[in-house]
Amino acid sequence: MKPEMKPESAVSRFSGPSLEPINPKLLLPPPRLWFITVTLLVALLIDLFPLSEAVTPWRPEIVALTLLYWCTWAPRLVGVSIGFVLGLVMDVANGSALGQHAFAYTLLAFGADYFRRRVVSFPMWQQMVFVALLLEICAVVVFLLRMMSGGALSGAAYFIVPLISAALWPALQSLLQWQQQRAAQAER
Amino acid sequence: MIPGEPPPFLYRGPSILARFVFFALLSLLLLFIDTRYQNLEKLRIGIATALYPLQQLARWPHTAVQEIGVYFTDKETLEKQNTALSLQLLDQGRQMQETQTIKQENEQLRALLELRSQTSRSAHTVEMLYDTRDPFVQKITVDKGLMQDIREGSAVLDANGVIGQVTHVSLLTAEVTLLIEKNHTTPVQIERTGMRSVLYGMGVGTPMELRFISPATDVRVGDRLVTSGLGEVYPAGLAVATVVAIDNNTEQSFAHITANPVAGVVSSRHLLVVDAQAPTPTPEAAPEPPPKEKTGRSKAVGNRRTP
Repeated sequence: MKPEMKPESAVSRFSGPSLEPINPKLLLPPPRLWFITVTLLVALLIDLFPLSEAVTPWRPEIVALTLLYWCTWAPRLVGVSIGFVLGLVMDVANGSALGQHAFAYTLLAFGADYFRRRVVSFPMWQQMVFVALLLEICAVVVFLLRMMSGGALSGAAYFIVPLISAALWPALQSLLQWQQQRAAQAER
Repeated sequence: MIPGEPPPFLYRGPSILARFVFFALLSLLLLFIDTRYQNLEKLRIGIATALYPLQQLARWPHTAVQEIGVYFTDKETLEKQNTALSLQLLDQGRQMQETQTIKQENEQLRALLELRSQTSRSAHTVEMLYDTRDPFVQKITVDKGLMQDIREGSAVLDANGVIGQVTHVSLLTAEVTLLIEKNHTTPVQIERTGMRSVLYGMGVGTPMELRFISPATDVRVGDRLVTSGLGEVYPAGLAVATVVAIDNNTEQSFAHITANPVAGVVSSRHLLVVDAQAPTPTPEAAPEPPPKEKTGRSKAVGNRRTP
């Protein structure tokens, strides 16, 4: 991952907390329920899209990322319960043991909610590190659970996927802010 | 303040920690029940049915590209393919006639000996849709399900031999666990000698292992392994694998024999699903399995996900 530090965020990190300029994202109008639903469905569609088996183990987890984003930015609408339901759907879609993704996404949603106040003021590279760490923790927990229930891992790609997913975080974030940005412009 | 966040006095419902603990425990419970007892099929079928339209939508670009590809295949390729297929058909027609004669003879002999007649099983051709993404299991999804009478536990073959077994069925699709899945067991016998044993899957990229064979047994590299018909999942005599290496280490009580599958386990598109044999044999007609087989078979039953 390449740390990309914007000059203004660097300034905000070194100035005292009281002088910190307000993150412009915090001034956006709240995201709409329809937009959240549509983005989660589209994420699901992307994850369901079949690719050749050479690529499959390396695919980033778009649903997990989208869930993480909404748990951070719309905690009142998307939380642990949505994570659980999405996880069950992914379990069935991927042919995993029922509860495997459900547990991972529940943990992910909780982690995102727990740290969200800190994360929203992080500069982008720190956010990406946070996302990678959170996804990696979920991956390791699921790996341990599956090993306990007699599974076998097919490749090391499994532990690299969280890093690939985290690399997509900035792009995903700007896509998911589209509706709010548009609403903000309409207000002006 | 973050947008979308209510003032503290408006907070309702259980705390986030309480909800987390509830759903985490619920998913752990599901995981435990699903991996241990495999009786959550109704829930799985329900979710799979709801998911089906989305899956079809996600697959649509793929299907479209394939169809366009077929449309633009040039004439020469098609003609070549046609000739090759006609020749193959002719050859198989001849084999089929021989098989018919042998089948009739076999039936007559069985009648003479008053043996239970072999029931032929119904089969469905299916097309592979995609690999499942789960990194912990080697599975593929095929395009027929409960609506087309695909049953859990059926054997799945391609033109060369066995590739696996149906483990989950939803309304319109079914999941096939591949032979090479770790600890997936297949009852086999060595075609040349008739020696029966159990073939274990070892995961992707690792050859399968033929277990419970003593070092003194006659096994050679290149021996074909065919299904033994024990365990009543696979019909007897289907090609499964060929022996690639034998390590007769005298310190161990069993030889270490590895084998590679003969079917294109990860590459075939068109497959055949053969129903599992439902009727239980009458005690006097049932062949007595050798004691070695028992450990393997009881594991195979656990893996097969059939009651």
